[in-house]
Amino acid sequence: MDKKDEKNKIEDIYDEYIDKLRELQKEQSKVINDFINQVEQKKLEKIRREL
Amino acid sequence: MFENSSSENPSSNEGQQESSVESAVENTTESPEVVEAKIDDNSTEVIESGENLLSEAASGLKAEEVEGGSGFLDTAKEKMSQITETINTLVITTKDKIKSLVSADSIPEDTDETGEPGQMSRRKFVDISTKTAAGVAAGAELGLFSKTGEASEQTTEQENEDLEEVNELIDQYSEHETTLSESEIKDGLEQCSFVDEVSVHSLEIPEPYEMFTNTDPLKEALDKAIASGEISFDDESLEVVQVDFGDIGRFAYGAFYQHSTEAIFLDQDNDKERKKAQLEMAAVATAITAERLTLLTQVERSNLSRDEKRQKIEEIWDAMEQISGPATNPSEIPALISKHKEKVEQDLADYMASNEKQKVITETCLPHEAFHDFFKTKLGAEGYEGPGTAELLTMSLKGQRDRFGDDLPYYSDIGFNIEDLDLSDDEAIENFSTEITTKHDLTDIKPKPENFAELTKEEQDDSREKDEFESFLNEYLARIYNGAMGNTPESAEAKMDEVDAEYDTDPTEYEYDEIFHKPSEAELAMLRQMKWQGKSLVE
Repeated sequence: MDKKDEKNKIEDIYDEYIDKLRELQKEQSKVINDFINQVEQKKLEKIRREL
Repeated sequence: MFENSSSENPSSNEGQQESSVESAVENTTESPEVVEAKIDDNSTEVIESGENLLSEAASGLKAEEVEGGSGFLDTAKEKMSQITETINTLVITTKDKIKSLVSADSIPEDTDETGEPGQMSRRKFVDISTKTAAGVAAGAELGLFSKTGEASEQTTEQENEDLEEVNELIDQYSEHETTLSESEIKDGLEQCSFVDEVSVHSLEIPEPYEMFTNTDPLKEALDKAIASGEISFDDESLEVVQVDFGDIGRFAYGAFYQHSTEAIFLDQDNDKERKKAQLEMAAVATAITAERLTLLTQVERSNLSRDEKRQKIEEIWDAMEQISGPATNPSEIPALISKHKEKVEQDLADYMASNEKQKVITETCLPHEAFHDFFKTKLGAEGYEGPGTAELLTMSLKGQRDRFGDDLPYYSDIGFNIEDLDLSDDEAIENFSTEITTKHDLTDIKPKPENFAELTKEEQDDSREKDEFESFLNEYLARIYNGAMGNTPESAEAKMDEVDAEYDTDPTEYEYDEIFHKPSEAELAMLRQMKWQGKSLVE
């Protein structure tokens, strides 16, 4: 394999990796947002109940 | 080595992020080692930033002080660890793929000794977008931003055009009605058979809520309005008061029922000038934040040493965290809005969608809040026919068990009180409910005794027990009644989806199953037996 082919293949591998990493970041974001929503819901419900 | 090749004129931050990645790849594939180092670097950054953000969120929200908060955090941490494991596996398999390509005698080229560039992670981008919303609130609170639309002489024609378009959008949004009208309120309550008359009032708050002051602006304004005759409550009507919840310090749901006044309060936001000012501030805050994001990317791609990059990024990051931080020259704002127009418009749409959702929540809660008035003023009173509180509590305990099992919903505080109750035993539930309702009159709602601290421990425990069962029963019945009136998890979610479709925004993840309950056949039958002055609650 010449240097150019090798470079292209590495680029492809890296692109694939970045796409997967992005998907995993989205998953992280969802976990955090879900957590924030759960805690806020609890807080809001408590305020509501206390009225 | 890592020239800034694409951030001069990004069409959006999203686009900028994409080009950042592509550009880095082009420049790094000269050496497989550099690519591998980059993989290590950006995977570590993603893992660390995700975990740090979760910790920051938990600490900022004081999650551990919230009921169930520790459990939520544990679950989130566990999910985050699973994602981390997946990322680590991805790193290993990617590196293996690269190694298998490279010949053994391949000699790496010289690399920049400053090390790999810190790739701008998408996680960070997502976080900045989230922070914008907080920044808007902070900015609005502090009145820090000058208004848009006051273009300086240096503003270019294109910038003026963009600014005009953003201003038109702001005008359009600020004119949009997101408060329920009197007829919408009356229509929403008409289906409640126990409600004869509805009086709708609007209450202005002369001295709005301020943090760290121990005042009750709602009580003060209401007392004054009643004393002056501006608002009068009578015994015949169900009183509904529209008030801006921001002014009374209730940054919560779109509606609540207040036992002391026996009135329903609904959130209103019909001050168009204020709405417009908030939208303008939101536009400015978004543009400033987006620009700081651009600066971050530029630093990351610069030729600075790794330590210098980290230091500069920290400085910009700190500035982003406090939108009220380093001042932005007002004359630069038109150019920033023009540059980040797409992002600004999306954030304005998000803001409008959230206002619309608030209206949907308010509307879907009307029968629920009306039921609280039924519970307080009619259940068990003369004119009421139907099951007593023991029977209602039995049905509610069974209903909670069937819906949630041992995992109690967030509005239920009775977990400790039912610890020794065998929920699988229907007869035990019936006996328990009789015991509780014989001990406490759950329909006799009273404020916490002023001398609570002076009571004996047993008296305090009794008082808490009564409040917890009353609150649970009141909330559970209000939910199934609201469900019988058509406000179920499915219908509420469908209404929210309509709003997202209209504004092209992402769905908000509400706990629909806990806010709304679709009643079972047994619950519907019980509601049908409940009558006020001969009329069933549910036909």
